[in-house]
Amino acid sequence: MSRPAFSPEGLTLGVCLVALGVLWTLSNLGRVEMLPVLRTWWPLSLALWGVLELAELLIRRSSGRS
Amino acid sequence: MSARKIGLLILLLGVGAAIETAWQVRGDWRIGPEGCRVIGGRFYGPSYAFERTAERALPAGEAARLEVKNAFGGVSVTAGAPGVVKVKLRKIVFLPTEEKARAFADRVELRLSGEGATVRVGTNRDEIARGEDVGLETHLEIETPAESAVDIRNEHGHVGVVGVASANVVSSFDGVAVERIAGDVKVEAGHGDVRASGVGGTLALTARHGNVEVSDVAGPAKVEVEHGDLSARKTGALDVSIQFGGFEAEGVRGDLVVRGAHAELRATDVAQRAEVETSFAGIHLARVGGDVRAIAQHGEIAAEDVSGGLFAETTHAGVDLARIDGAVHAVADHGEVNARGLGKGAKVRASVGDVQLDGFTGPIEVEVERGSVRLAPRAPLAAEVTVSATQGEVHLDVPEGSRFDLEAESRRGELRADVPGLTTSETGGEPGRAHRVAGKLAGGGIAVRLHADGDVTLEGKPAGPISDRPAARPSATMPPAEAGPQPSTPSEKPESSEKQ
Repeated sequence: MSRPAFSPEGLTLGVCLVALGVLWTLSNLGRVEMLPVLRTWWPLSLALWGVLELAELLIRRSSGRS
Repeated sequence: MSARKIGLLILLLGVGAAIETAWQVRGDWRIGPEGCRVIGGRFYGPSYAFERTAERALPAGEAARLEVKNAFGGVSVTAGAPGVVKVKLRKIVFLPTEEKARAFADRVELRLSGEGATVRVGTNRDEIARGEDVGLETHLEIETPAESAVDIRNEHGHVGVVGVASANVVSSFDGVAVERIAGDVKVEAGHGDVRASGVGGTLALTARHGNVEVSDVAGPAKVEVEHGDLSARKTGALDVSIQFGGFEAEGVRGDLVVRGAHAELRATDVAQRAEVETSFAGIHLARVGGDVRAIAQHGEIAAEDVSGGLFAETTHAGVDLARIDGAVHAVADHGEVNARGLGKGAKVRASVGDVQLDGFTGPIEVEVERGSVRLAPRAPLAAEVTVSATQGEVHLDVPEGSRFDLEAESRRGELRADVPGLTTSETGGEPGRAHRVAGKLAGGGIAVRLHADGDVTLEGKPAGPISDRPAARPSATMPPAEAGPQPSTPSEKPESSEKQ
């Protein structure tokens, strides 16, 4: 059994942490208001995870055929 | 799904929920504006007061319609001179120095708007508060012609209305007092005590989290109270819904309808019908001019001096009745029934409790489980008596002059009949223990049927009145004498003016 190309949940968590860190920094610099941005965009983390899960599934199937 | 995925899902949803919650409560985190604190909807700290007045002349011959909107401050409306609305705004600014407070107060405007006889009173505090973080109270004192219809919306401030034509008040977080209103009154109060007195028309009142006092209402009143006590004196027909409080009414000129829950109900001097129900508390009624229907779950029912009939149903508590002129129907599940002076008989069903009827006329039908029955008619029996006691005894006093056909049965006890003139025509059971008796008294008459698992006893008694005194009638409840303003003559056509 081949190892998956990447881990969707690990990638999601990583992207979310990067986004949160950047946003927090921008908030500290006074460039953005953190709460409204977070409130608007946080559901994208779920969407991102879902996309990555689908991508992993497709990669696994294609590698299984070859 | 792996534990790792489940953990991430919970993490993301948890973070999302935290963000949404933070968004909902944003702005409510601070303790108070700069320089002061807000506790219980009031500002505390150093403050300075400033006043401003304005007035608006009204078209001649038209009744004014006054609409007031305010927040964080009281509103007082009283009857004033005809033809003009006078407003005094008292601004209290919570800032450390008078200079700062005065500079801020100068920006708070008293606004009178509206067309014709409609006058809208308010301030620009919403516009200022949007960008500032300063404690500000705006108190409005308004004089308006007595014929005015008054509409008030206020938050965090006491509302008082006296001597106008009608009042519609919506208030939150403070008390409301409405007095001497000629017409209808409508009050919606959130947190705070409410007092309505001297209402010439109808009253519609809703209150949450506060006590309510209602008095001298000429028309019908509908009152809803939660988490507070309600006291009503001298009202028209009264329709009440009350939860988690106590209700006390005195002098209702029409029907009384009360839907209660977790509320003790007491009413006296009700001119007409009383229909009351509650739970986990009792019902006490006195001097009711019409029929009574009382239902209490886990609460006792007591009624005295009722001119009409009575239906009482209770669980886990008893029924106590005195001087009921009409027919009685009482049901007590896990409770006893005691009644005195019943004018038109009674139908009683009880369990796990005794039944005692002392002084009655009219047909009697009693069914008891796990309890005994004691009947003392006092007056000669003139209507059917049917009694059944499972796991209990039956005792019947037989007044002189009674005439009846007896059918008595004691299933496991003793049957004794100590009544002069009673002839028994049939006995059954073991020798010395008469289990069934059929007989006649004074040649027979109405049917008396007594059945019990325990002893059945009949005892002769001298006759007398069924009650020491007749049922008292509700005392006269006159309409409120001083409800409403004195009509004032419209002034000559005034000039429309506003000064500030």
